[in-house]
Amino acid sequence: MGYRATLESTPETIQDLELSAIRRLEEATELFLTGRHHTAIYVAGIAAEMYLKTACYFLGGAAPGDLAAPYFVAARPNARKYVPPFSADFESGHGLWFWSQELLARRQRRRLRRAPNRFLQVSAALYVDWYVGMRYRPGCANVDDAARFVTHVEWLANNHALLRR
Amino acid sequence: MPVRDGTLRRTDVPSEQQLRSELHAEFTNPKDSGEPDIIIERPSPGTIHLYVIWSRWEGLEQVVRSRIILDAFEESHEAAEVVKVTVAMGLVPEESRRIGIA
Repeated sequence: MGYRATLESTPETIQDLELSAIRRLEEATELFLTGRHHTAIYVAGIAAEMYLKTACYFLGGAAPGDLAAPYFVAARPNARKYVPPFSADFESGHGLWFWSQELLARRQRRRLRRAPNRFLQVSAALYVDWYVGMRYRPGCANVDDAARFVTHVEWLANNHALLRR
Repeated sequence: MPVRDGTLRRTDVPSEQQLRSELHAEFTNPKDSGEPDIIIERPSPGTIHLYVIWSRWEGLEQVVRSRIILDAFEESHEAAEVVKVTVAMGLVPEESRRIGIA
């Protein structure tokens, strides 16, 4: 059986995303430490996407073992929202600005306490540094770019519990 | 035309209730060795990941395994702990080796 078939033999669950986020961030840190700055940013951004998505899904009432797809489909109609101050950023469901704004909107709808100010800074910074299409670029990131970005994603990881309830 | 026996080959899948009870017993009074092997991780403040490695998951979908783990955890822990669980993954030993949980 091919690797793809192995992975696709079980449907993607929310806890798969959660575990993958941790692993991608660990891998991004290793890439950063070995000087692969562009790829460290790209991989850390994938982790950020999953941290934001899972926080949104848990706020939407998801259980860890639930399939991820229905929660993604439910969020998709909001793709055209959350434009200012940045251009539309759904990016086929990868957009970090979209998911950070979706998270804030969900918290507001559930009348939860305000997200920490640092979250607003982090989500804006993530948007400025990352987009999914960057995988098609050879890359020219320096050590400071990568350090800053990975640090922001680590903040998301460390504050995931705070963001999802 | 060949005649084939269409009898379904059934796997003997234990009932959810049975698995939940056994898992609850393991959460409250863990054995020194053997299955189910329960791994509890706290990757960040306010987050709990539960992995239960158990051959008896065979034949059950992940969504069902996860529900059983959460229910058993809920029966044996306070609500404040239960809301911290974001991974409740049931794995047979071969699956746990494949994804690096052991």
